[in-house]
Amino acid sequence: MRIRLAALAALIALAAALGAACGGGSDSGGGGGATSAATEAVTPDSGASYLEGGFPATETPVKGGVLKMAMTDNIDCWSGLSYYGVSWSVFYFMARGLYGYPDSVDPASTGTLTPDLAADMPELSEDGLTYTVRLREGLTFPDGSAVDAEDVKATFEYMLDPNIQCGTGGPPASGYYAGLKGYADWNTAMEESKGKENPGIAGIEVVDDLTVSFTLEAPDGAFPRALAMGWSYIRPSDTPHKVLETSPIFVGPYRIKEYTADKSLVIEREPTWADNVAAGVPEAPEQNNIDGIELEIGTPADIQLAKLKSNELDLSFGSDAPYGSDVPAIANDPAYADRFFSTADAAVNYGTFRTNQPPFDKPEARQAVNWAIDRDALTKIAGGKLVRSPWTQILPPNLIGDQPTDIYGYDPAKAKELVAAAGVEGSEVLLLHGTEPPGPEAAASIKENLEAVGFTVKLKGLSADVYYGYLADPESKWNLAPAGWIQDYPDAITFYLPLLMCESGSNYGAWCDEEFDAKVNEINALPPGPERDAQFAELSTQVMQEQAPWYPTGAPRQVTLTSERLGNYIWGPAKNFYFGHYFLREG
Amino acid sequence: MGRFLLRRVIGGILVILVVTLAVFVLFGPALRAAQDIRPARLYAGKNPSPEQIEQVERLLGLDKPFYVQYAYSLRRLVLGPSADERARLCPGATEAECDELVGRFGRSFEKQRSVDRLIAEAFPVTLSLTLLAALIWMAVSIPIGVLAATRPRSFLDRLTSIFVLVAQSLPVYYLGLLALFFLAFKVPIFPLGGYEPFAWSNPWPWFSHLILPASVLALQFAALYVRLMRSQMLDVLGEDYLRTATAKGAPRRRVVWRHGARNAILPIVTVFGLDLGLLLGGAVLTEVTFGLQGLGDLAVSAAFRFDVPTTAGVVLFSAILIVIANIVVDVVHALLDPRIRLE
Repeated sequence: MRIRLAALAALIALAAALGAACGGGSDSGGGGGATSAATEAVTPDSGASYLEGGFPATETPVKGGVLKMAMTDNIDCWSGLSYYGVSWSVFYFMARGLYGYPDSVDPASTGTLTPDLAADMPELSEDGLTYTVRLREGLTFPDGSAVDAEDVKATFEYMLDPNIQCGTGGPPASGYYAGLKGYADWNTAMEESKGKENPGIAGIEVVDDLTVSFTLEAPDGAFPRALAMGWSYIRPSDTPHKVLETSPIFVGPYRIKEYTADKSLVIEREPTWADNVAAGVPEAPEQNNIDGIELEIGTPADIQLAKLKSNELDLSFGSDAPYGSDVPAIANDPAYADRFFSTADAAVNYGTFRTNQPPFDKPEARQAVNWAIDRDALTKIAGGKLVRSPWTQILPPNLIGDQPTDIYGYDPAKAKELVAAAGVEGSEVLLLHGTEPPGPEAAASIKENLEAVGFTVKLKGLSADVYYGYLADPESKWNLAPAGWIQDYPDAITFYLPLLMCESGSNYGAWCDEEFDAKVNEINALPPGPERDAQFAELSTQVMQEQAPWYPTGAPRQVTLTSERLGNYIWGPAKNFYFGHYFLREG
Repeated sequence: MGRFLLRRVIGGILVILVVTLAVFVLFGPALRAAQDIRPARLYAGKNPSPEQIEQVERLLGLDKPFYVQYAYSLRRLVLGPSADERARLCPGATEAECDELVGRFGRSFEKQRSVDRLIAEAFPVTLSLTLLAALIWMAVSIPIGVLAATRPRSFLDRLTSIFVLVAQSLPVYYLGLLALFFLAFKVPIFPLGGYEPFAWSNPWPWFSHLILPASVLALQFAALYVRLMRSQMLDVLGEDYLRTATAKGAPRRRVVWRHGARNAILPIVTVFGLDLGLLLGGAVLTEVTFGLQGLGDLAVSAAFRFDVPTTAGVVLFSAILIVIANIVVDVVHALLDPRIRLE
């Protein structure tokens, strides 16, 4: 899913100013996370110990209290269809789908799919095309109606309805379910009839009251994970197919109590949840400790930081604070040693090439850029190694650890040779960048690197709010552009499928290689496991060395300052914030 | 009086027309030409086909020529949404529902709500901030300006000069951050930003959230007004009629305040009216610094997102306020100075 860029440049400047006023300050930055071989250990002056994904030992939680959070900019919608990862952590907390992930960041279990509303893991047919899922018996929606297979079918038709939008655009969910048998025909029929005639997706069949099957056009070993994504919570079959301001009723331990657009969101316990726990939906005694969440929307980053320091807030939900120079300042302040965390994310910062236009239609020109860029300098500009580490692969190190880390280094001489070999010396290229820090500084560094090897670079800055829209517009003019991506679920396909295949939704540079697509599809048919991961990792190395469709620059980390009262804080790429695991010390 | 008001209202409408035209040009053809930005693409979702982008263009009315879009917006402002807009933006809705969704100022591209509603939610914040700030700066600047003028080159006058210099040199965002840091974070006297709506039953939360931003905003204006009041008073105090009043034995206090200040305040009223109108359109930096979701904050965030209806709506609303403020200033002038006749 897309990495949220920071909000207004002014706010960042203000945040930096407050950081300076608070006595901190070194370099500026932004981003979010990664560990493993590529990441050097970071030891702050204070000796704080939670800077490499470490968390305090689990305490026995107490029940009660309302968690207070804030964010600077609202997400696109709260209907449960947003593609922003930050919203998924709230929906993972509030609602249950067929499958989910445990409230754990233990590497052995964090990415393990577990049945929630489903009675068991899906049964796969012999041809590898049909997944059959059986619901638990006795599940009910908050209004008392029973959850059945029709609700499951209707949920996916709601999520994929091209006429229902989060914002003005169509459904973001479609990419992961487009392989369902009959999806394309259904989508066309829904578009043409504006949703008035729903012929149903042929690949989703109600077998009996509690059983539903999903049939695919081609094998997809990761499809069960698509059933656990942050928008696939089961909705009642009579949910109207229209844009909703907040989510419809879900089966889950919490619900939205109140939402004031762009101002606040209040979440409270769902009183009927115990009935579903009695029906077998898993809930450990130490889970779901807090009574609810109060989210302030529109709070500037500097005010969030001050409120976090003074314990008026428990978390910065949008990860707006701490930011930039505040990060090393807080990391080195003993006062925050036990509540400042820098955690590996399964994300990658990369730059994309417009590969259907010269000069980056030539692989040598793209390889030259990869050799020319000084990634250590970019890391320093971004805020140092608490914020991100240099990285040159497509797949982040925290997703698949065993990847070569040295496929590209900083070698301007080699880059110059490749520029000459490609015959693109003196080519004028337009480098797009965000206007918020560290976008302009990073772009200036890349410009210097590229001009040193023979390119002529022009810069164009755009606000974060319109950046990705501009990037995705086939008529817009650019040659190189930085971007970021976080895993949608713990599998490499969530990088290849949305970003690098010929029909990928976020393949901004239009890089297309049918052999590569065929290889991805071939590996995707494998079931999750070490073999699948190894083959995807090998493909990443191979394609970066031979084709270089991107210039990866770093593996970002999640930086968090919590309140003193927030207990059992953990963070991980599978769910981001693990609200179900947290508790509040004052009860 | 009637003719005067009519003349000013017609002038004001012309000003508003020019302002709206400027906003439409800036965010329409000029934006496309200079920045290569297509608003429809920004709001067309994750990976739209060209057909979907065209569909969004049609939905938002961006497929029509620029002058038609402009004409639509003017018509809507006066008469409400047209039949075409009702069909596009709120199919199936009743007239009342559609008025709620589209309103007079149009429908926000980003928020999918009427700009009228967005302005109605943001304006009380800006109004509260502005009125409280205005109260503070007028209450501070007029007495200080008068006292400094009556004791030129005294300790008080020099202290006033230092105050003016310091207050005018500090940008409001920096002063705001310092205020937040020392008075809300280090010594938690005031809340750390945010806004609470006014309630007659308990106005304290409203006041406590606003007093810090209002004071910071007021400080810069107070500095300007002290300077202005002092120089006006110095001019007035040298006038013959004041010397006459003093020679006739009028008490000093009466001479200074009744005869002097009343005349010196006329230019202040002019500037005050314009400043008030301007601030009611949004005190951008103060609102952003203190996390107040007022009109300034709304306008800035809409401009960053190329949300043309919201940006145009806020600018238009601000222009209307400034025009009204101008008219009010003229009327107040006449009331304060009988020599000025509106006719």
